[in-house]
Amino acid sequence: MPINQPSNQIKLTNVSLVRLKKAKKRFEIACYKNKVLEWRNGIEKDLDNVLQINNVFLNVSKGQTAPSADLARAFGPKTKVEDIILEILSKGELQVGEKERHAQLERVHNEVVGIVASKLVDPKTKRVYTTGMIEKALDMLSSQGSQAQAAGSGTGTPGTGEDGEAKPKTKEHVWTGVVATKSAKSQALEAMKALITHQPIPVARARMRLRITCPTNVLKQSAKSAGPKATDDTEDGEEKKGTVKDRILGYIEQVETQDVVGSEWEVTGFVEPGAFKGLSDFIGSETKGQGRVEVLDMAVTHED
Amino acid sequence: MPVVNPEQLVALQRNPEGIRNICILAHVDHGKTSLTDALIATNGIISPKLAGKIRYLDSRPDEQTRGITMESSAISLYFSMLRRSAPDATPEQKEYLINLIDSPGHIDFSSEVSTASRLCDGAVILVDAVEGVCSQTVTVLRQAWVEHMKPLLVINKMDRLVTELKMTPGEAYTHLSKLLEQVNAVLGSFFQGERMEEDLNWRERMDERIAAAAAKEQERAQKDDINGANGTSIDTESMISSNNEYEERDDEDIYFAPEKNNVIFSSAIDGWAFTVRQFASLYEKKLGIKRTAMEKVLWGDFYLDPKTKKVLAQKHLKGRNLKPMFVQLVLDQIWAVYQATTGGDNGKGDPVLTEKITKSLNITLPSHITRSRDPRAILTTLFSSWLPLSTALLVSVIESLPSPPAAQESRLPALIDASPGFTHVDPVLRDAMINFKTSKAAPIVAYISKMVSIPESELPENKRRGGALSPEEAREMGRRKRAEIARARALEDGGTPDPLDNLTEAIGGTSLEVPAEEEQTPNREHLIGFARIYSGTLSVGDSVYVIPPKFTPANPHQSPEPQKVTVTALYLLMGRGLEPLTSVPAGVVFGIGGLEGHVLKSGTICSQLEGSVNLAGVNMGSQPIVRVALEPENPADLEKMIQGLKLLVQSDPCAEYEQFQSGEHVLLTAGELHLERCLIDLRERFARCEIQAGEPIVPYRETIVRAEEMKPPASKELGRGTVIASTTSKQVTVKINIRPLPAEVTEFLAKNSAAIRRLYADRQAAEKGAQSNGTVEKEDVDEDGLVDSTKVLSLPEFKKQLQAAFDSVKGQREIWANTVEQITAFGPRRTGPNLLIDRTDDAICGKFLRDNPSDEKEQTVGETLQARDFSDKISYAFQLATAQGPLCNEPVQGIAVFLEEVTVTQTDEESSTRDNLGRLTGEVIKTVQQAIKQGFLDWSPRLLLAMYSCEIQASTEVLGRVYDVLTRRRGRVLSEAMKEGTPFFTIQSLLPVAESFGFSDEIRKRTSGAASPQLIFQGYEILDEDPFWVPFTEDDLEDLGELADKENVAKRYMDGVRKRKGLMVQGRKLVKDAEKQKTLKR
Repeated sequence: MPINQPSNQIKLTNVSLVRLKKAKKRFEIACYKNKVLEWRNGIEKDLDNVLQINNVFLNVSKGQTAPSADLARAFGPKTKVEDIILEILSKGELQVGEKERHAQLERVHNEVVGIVASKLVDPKTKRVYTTGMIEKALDMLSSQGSQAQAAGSGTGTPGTGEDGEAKPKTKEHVWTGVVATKSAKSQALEAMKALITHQPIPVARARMRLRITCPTNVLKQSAKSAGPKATDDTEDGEEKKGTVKDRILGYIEQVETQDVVGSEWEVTGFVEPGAFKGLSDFIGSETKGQGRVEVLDMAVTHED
Repeated sequence: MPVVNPEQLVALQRNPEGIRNICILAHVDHGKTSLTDALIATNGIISPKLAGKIRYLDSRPDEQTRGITMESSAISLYFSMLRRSAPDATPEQKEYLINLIDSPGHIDFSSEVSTASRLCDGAVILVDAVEGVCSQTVTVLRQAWVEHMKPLLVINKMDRLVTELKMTPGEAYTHLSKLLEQVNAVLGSFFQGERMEEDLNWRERMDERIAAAAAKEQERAQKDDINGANGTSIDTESMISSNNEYEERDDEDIYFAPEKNNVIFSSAIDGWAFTVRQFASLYEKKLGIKRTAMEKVLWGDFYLDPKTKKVLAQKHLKGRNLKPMFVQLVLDQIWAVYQATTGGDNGKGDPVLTEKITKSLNITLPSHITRSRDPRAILTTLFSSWLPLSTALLVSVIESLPSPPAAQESRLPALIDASPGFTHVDPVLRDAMINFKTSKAAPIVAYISKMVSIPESELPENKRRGGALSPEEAREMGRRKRAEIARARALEDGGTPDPLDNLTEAIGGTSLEVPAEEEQTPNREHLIGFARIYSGTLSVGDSVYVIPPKFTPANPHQSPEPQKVTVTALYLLMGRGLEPLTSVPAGVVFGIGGLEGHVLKSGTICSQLEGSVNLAGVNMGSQPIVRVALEPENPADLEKMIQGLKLLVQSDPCAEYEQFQSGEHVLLTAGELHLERCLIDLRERFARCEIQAGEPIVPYRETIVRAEEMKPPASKELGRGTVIASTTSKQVTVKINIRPLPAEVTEFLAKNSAAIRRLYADRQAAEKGAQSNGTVEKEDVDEDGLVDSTKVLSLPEFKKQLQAAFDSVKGQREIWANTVEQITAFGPRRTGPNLLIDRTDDAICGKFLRDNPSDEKEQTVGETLQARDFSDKISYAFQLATAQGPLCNEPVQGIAVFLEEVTVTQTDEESSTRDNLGRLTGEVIKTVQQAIKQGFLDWSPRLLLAMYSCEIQASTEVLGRVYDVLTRRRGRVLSEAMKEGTPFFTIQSLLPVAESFGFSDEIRKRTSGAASPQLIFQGYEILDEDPFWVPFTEDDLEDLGELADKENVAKRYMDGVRKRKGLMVQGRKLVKDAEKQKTLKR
């Protein structure tokens, strides 16, 4: 048994492993922390600044280098060690370093906040909020959310306590902070919904300004697709029997101008962004392409 | 001194001859507030012992802790003195009311000084005897000069000469005369500057002056006769006249001279002050020299012949080593007192000497003082009985500063003539103002210099106005008090007052004289105007017109028309406290209530609208230049913060508030210290919530240029900037070409964005018109409706000018040859300086700048997809792409997007083409947006920096430092010019907004306040550096190495923005050296 003295101990510090399973063997390489992702993104070009040792291991912590036979079997004969390392670097699974994770989270967070800030306005003044304000509001939400969750799991039955964060079931929009796994856009949408339902600060979605043109002869017809639509959308249910015109106007929150030019009916108005897709689909299907939806402004905010 | 009750002061207000409105101005820390303290002590408001230490007028807690004044505050003082109306008449007691305004000295608060000086007739200017003339001293001297105020110089902190610098009286004398010269030199420079400016009036004025001088000479000649008869030395007189002759060529009445009694020597902390006149009268008997003559010779190079007791001029000294009279007779005595009390071996003084002095001065010190161990106690007691500060100062104020009637007569004509539209001022009004009409019938004119916010609790509303309380009233008072207490308690309990309390309140409210008072909720801030009335008598309940600062009497009914407002309360300003008044006659400085919401910062109130005068159009000394973005700590407090900001802006003449399109709330303040004060005010008084201040977001723009050396274009055969892009479903293929717009065109477009917006609006209007006319023309426009546009360009004009801008471009004319006709859209936001130009063969997009509607082909609606169907999509994609550029998502400017080709490939299942439109929409938008970005980056991209134009006034000494700061902040000097007649340089420069945070503070620090910058947003300027630039030519690689040692500034800015917005930052490494990471576990 070797004597465990400080001088003959080798400690793995500043090491991050990249593993690749190939041909039923696990190959590892020893890299520096916080560097592999940069290498993969092409930011870091110096391999020496990524790799600790220019060798492939079976187990880094034990210091087992991979036998060349194994390597040849897994990566094909006559493949150079350098190429094998590059392959492992680019394909292997890796630990994300603390700093890397932090940087990524921060970037996503900034992006989410940026998107949210550009899409939400103060309903009274129609002015946008600064990113700082949105950030604070989201912070409030997430702290509230975690408290609510804690309370919910505490009071709830023990069985449901485990899956307390089953948000989709309750359809309640809870904001628990940014995660790095989802895209910034979808998280931003989530955040917006949460902000609008909880209103830590008075917010509303900035409206889109649309111009809709439609031939007049279609207007008077009753909407064909009303039936199937009404079933899945309660809002449309009221206007089941409505004409195309009524349906279109139903989508529009606030009509700016509305007039008939020749055989075309034209309306400009503000539409909630969530309704845009439905509206544009509806018009496309009802008018067989004769009607058009033109986006004049993605988000209407107060302008000086 | 006994406590003076307010009634006495109120009574004194009726006597305008006995009023002096003065303000105390000086550099920071020269002792303004201490001096004021000494004056307040005479009225028994504070103990004389504490005078100079408690700084009574610094009522804010932060003022007290920091020891500097931040807000000007006023106090009314009573002073009575024996005055002889004629030299031989028996002295009679006269009472005076002195309205004193203490102003802050720090440069950040110079706006307070400007407002204070407008209210006053005279200025007391303090100079530290040791520090001498400082930057703010010059500023306040100029302020007094510009406002035509009569100045009085106080050389303060004389004790420092004795105790700190340990000067001998002789040295002190030379020091003081040098100091006086400095001050006079400043005044002289103003005079010279003015003389140069008013070159036309000069001759005329000189004539007047000569006449005046002649008159004076005559007077003097008479005096000479008298003096001669009295047997005083003739030499002195000849000396004086020679002096005066020299001065007469100059503007002699502006200078300070001790013999003219406008210089006071003082030490506010030790509580003494004297004028030459005071000593002259002291020595009148002793030396047997006439007081008037003595006054003339006590200061200056005059010597007392010890044998003959005659006054000699320097040339008669004949080599004898005599001390000047001032040293011998004045300074020596004071030095002796210091020596006797605080001097000696260990600062304990010399009791024997003290006794001698007290005996010779006929002063008896109370025994508890003489026995006291503190030598300073003896010192101050001795001085306060020998040379009391208040007497010297107040006597001089009363003697040499004008009373309101006199001051208004001399000051107001110039003041009225400087006000906007002065030719339309009613002569009756003018006359009333100049001639000081106080009668009820005279028109009321008052100037409100600023709005002060006073907490409700400090309002004296509950005090009875004058007289004793009658029993009913006392009971009434008690009831009111009880109601109030109950209400307060109810509010504390939870804000829901129970009905009983409401009832009592209602009962109380019915019998009140002023019902408005009861409506006020506790602890609210009230805005009270800091005002000065120039003519007429203003009483509570009067309704007057409030004239806004932009008003001009030339057209009084111009909107917004001045409103009529009822004065709800008048106050006597007593520092921290307020005393209610019922009416104020002309010439008084007072507080006025009821103007909340009517007067924003400053304004004029006038009893008539027609021909009224606007006194509020004062040019402020300094513009607010420090910008910070404010944010409440708790986002729910935003509303509170905005309300608070609005209040703050009203109550602070120099703070401004802006709300930006980005949603930022930006507060502009005069300096860092001012900002700090504003934030404290906001947190504690106006908004009552935690507020964070931070750097405001700096806007950028992105553009492209044709650089000298660019990387090769992405595709050789298509040429630079051309991109062919097809949607993911391969159905639509778009070919576009991006080019930089010529600078002239960009500039033209940026300038005429209003015109473009107008064109859009007109088009919409015209569409409506066309519809009502029943024309069948589809979405087409009658552009004739544009003719009426006056300010913005009409369409033909716009086109012509745009064409001219294109024509002025040299080279590549063929590219821009026909563009104007082909413009489809502007972007971003459809008004910006970018163009979408339709170069497709069949012109799929509508022409924006059509003259003739008929050339538009009728759109055929078919089952098959056509390129035309995508025109609006492409246009929208263009808007999106220009709104968020590829560099850092900032708006793009100065690019032209040529749409060259749009092809639609029919898919096999043609039945669903129409259905596909929805899906294709998104695809096309995305593709075109991407293509525009690609084309953009094919050129040499540039960032445009927002720039401030920065004007700096600096004296020659600090010029170098100014340049230093400017270069460090990446500023660029445009011009530098000497201001005629002054020692100042005016430097015009450009400074990036991104570098301006903290600029004013730095420049002030580096130049010790001698340079004052003004920042005005100028526009955007190209930073001529490619943010993506890395060395690639051989020379560059050799010079700079692979990593480009030189910092790429454009990249730094770009990365900063990208980081803020959460975009990928190219090439930023988390860890620079992998091996140098911290490996220890935390």
